Amino acid sequence: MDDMVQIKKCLAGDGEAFEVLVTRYKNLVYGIALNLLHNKDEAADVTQEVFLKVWANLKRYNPEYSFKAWIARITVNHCINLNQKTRRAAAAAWDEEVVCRIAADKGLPEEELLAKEKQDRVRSAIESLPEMYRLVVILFHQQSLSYDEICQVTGYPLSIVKNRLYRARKMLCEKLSAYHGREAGKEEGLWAAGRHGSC
Amino acid sequence: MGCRKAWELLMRRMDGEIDRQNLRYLENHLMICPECREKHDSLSAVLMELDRTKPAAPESTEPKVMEKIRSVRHRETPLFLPYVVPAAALLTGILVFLFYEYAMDGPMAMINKAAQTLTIFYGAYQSVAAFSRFLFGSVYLNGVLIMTGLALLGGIPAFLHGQRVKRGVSKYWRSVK
Ligand SMILES: [Zn+2]
Repeated sequence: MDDMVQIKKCLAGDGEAFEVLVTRYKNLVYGIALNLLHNKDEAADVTQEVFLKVWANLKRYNPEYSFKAWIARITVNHCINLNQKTRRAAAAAWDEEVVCRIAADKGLPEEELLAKEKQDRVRSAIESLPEMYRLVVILFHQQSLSYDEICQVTGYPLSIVKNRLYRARKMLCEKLSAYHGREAGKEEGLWAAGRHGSC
Repeated sequence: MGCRKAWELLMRRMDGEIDRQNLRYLENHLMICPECREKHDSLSAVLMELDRTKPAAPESTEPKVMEKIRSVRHRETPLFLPYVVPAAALLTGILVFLFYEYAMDGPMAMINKAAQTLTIFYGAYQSVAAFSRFLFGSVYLNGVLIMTGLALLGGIPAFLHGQRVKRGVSKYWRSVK
């Protein structure tokens, strides 16, 4: 694969070839780190640390596995270690950001405000998932890792990975439908109004 | 009725593993069942949100990572010393060997004289040569002894220096890890 070409170049002493790999996977590493650490500065630092680790351990990479999964695994382990070292109120940082955003949202047209509200709702549903469920959702649906790759990242067998993802989806449906129960009337009214207006 | 199957098919569709026939079944069910439609809409909203909020790493990631790698690589270069110095010492040894074995007997009497004035060095050479003659019955092997001596003399401190640098680098990696 193309990754392998770059890896071989790096191992042959071409340090600059590594930059291509950084560009290719930096969003993956940052995405996972942000999801597990909830802090942009820390996620950016961790992204650099992970790539230095990858570079230092490149010789130990086994080409039978996906390079993407290998990098993701190093990232997840690094973040877990970091979280264990500094057990902190991760959710607090997130809430702060939401509050800032809500303040900035004032003065938007109602339609956009509704869309934003919906986005926030969906986001908080995702955030409220237990960590390992959320991680599987992020890896599969946001970072486009395959089931095989997620098995390599988490070390779980396929049955558990599938089960986690299915249950996570179910939890998301439940959380979001609890909201829908409250708001359904209002939205249906809007929908009906729109319908009538256009006809 | 059929909601369980619809859910299964919805899961399969999210996995990207649904065939045409099942997809039609799912779509038909979603049209007639508001409950399943709501689940479908919730999950679509989740996927959209995940796509919309896909985090992008800072632009500075590459330069920062590459800068660190370059600085570590720079510190790694003295590791080559243990390989370079013995080779250089060996080459010097060979040159010395050739100089003594051939130039001395040739027309270069002046060089011969100059070399003889370096009594200590020449004396050392003479005793090595005598030792070699005694040991191997040949004067030519003394060149080999001189070469080995020089290689060891240059090689040992260079090797020790290399080891010290290497320890420093691995300590750095331990701190990164
Ligand atoms: Zn149904």
